[in-house]
Amino acid sequence: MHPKLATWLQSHRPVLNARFANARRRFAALDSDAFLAYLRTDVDALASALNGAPEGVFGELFESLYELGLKLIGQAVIGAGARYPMIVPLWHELALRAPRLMAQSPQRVLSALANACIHVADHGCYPEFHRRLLALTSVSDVDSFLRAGQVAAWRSGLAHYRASALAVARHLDSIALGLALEVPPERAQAELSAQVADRWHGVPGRGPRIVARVGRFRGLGGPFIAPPRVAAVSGEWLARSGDQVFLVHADAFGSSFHAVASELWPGDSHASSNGVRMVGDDLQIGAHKVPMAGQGDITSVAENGKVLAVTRSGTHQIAIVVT
Amino acid sequence: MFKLFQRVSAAPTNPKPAAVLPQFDVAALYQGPADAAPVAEVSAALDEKLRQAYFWIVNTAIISPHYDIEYNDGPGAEFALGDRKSALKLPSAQSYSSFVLLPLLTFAAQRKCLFIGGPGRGKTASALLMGVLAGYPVREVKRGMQRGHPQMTTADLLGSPLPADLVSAQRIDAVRIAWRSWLSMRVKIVDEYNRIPTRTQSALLTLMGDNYAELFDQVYECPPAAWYLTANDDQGGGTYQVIEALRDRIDVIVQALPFNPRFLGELLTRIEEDARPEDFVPPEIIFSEAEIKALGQRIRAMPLPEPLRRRIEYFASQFEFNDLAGEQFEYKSKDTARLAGTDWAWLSAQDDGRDRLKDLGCQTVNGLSVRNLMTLLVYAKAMAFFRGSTEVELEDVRQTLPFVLHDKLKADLDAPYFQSPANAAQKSDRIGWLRSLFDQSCFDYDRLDLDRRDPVRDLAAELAAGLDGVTAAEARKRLAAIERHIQAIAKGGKLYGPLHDDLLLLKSLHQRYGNYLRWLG
Repeated sequence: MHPKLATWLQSHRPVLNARFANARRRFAALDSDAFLAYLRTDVDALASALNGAPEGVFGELFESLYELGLKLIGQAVIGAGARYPMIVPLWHELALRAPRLMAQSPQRVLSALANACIHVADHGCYPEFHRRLLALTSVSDVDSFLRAGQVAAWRSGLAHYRASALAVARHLDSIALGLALEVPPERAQAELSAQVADRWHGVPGRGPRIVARVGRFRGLGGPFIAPPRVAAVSGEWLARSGDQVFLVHADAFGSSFHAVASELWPGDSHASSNGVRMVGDDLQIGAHKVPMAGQGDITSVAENGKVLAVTRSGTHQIAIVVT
Repeated sequence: MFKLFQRVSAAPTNPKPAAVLPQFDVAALYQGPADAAPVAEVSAALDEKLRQAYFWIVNTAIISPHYDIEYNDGPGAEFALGDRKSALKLPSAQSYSSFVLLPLLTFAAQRKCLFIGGPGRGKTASALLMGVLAGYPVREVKRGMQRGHPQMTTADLLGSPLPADLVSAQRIDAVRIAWRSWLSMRVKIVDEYNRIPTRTQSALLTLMGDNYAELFDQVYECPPAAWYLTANDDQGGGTYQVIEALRDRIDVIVQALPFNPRFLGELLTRIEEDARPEDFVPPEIIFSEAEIKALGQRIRAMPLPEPLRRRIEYFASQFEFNDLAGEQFEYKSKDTARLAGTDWAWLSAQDDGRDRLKDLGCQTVNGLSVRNLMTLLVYAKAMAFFRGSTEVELEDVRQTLPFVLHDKLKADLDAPYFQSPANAAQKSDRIGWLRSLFDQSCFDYDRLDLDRRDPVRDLAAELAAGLDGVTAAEARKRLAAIERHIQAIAKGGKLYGPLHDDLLLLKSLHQRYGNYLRWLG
């Protein structure tokens, strides 16, 4: 065991034991063996990764890891049989790649990353987030790193965070912004403006075309129990499937769905009202034809600006069409 | 240390379906089970904060909560158990423990709560927690707690004159008083108040009733406060009989229910950890002075719909009327008989005209006072506020009413209702009896279809709309309508409480129109 960790554990033993006893009272799942294994391997590895850090860092590091361990193992978030096994490896990877970031504020970084992993994994986009986050380790300070991380989370598929992530991005310096938007620093501001102006910026093609197909059958991990229908309300898209209504967010980086009160559903929006119809395998929008593979008749069309959401009777996907 | 004792519910404690499109902020990305930032920075809405406080107490501080305040949002499971087929109900909506919730509502509405129950059941500990919620350190709350004992004097309770001034002062108002520090607290606790001598109880009455203390012609004005009193017995037992006026000042009474030995393990843990919950109250659920003030304002502002108010009126009308107590119509009340010292047994024996089983008024020996009704309205509003509702609902009234009227509405245990074996348990279970009483009243209200057909309400509404522009002919027409309605009631035969109140209202309407006609000339 790392000598600093051994010393810390020894000198705080009665208090730490009392904290463990209290935590077990709160979390029935908190297993002493799993917690000891966490201290021996995970906390020890993190201490080793930060070997060169200033002496004062270790106290906060161990304090944070101990408290997080109690909470997260107690809730089966990390540890044996954990729901989010990626959290501890991510901490370790970051400590190795950017020890100075971890050393600046261990508690803040560790807990922020753990929470972010949970949110991103719940939306099924952790691999993408992991890649983007590790590309941010060259930023200078924790504030910039965490802000750029928020932008990375949006670009990894959390489409509902688009507006607020773009607002956060405005406060980044050009280096951090470039890293977050994956462009050189000199192009960062222009890229940000383009993203603000067009949520489909970067999707290949020109003119009327399908830019995304979002959602799928619940049995395959999607939100819809039955082929959905769409409607536009207050500049947002709603989708109804069975008895459930979802708020749909979609952009060039992905899509997300959030269940909302069914009273918000304004009623079905029919294709004829938007001048949209199927002609053979093409979607006829005014004078334009958009090739559209898929099955069944059009069941609903909702317009949001110059973008249509189109549903068909034979599919659980919603086609997003730029006109 | 012991941060886990300090965990407050992060999720909404009484979530309601959102009827608006949700807003998303990427700041939420870093929030979750591994929160680093102190949660205190997040200011919860006051009702949510109150619920967080409730759930912290229930989950952390109280070992064996009883869910006796039952809410349902659909049919709940019910089981009949034992030879007497006792009903065990599993509520389908979020339900609450009266022993925690009523004191908390008392805290929010700044009222007065009495804990009753045997020794060692957590009465004083619960009161202590309320003091901590108001932001006082545990030590200060303990020091501020008044412990009733047979030698307790007014000086023990209020303070003492400075000895030097007693010798040198030329006028009585020149004697300076060292007021006791607890008088300035926003949570006041009097432990075992039924052990306080009668003379000191009178000083306590002034303090509780009028919120000031007086010694040597000098007055100390106390800030608004929530009061918590404890007693092992609420039947007037204890070392001294509690004076009636003092009992009347108490707004709600909650009973400490027995400890469930199934939770012995929790007790053991507390002994082993040597930890007391009151030492670890999380800062997020501590209310500032401004927040306590705002709580009171929000509770008072909670709307109470008119149809619900009518049901409360109908319920309250049931009890005061007594046909034999007075000659004149206005004096036909139980209070008239009580003031005259009439023997209750004799009086009730004379009352043979009505169905004494169906008449709810026959179940009590008294009626409701204005103070009782005001308290009921405040607690119903506080309950609705606590639950995050937009207005008071019938169930809020139904659930708070038994605790407010606990020793205010006194049962006539010799009444025919209590002689039925099915109602025998209600002789000792006042909460159950009062809830049943309200249910019976609501049943009667629905049977009479008073929500839709209430001519007296309509006649009163006509007058309430104002007399501007009402012609003499119209006023006479309304007078005739009032007399016709009184005539219709008279044809009905039997007189009950609600009819008596309706008739008194009709009489007052008749007076108003009569005066108006005289004014018109």
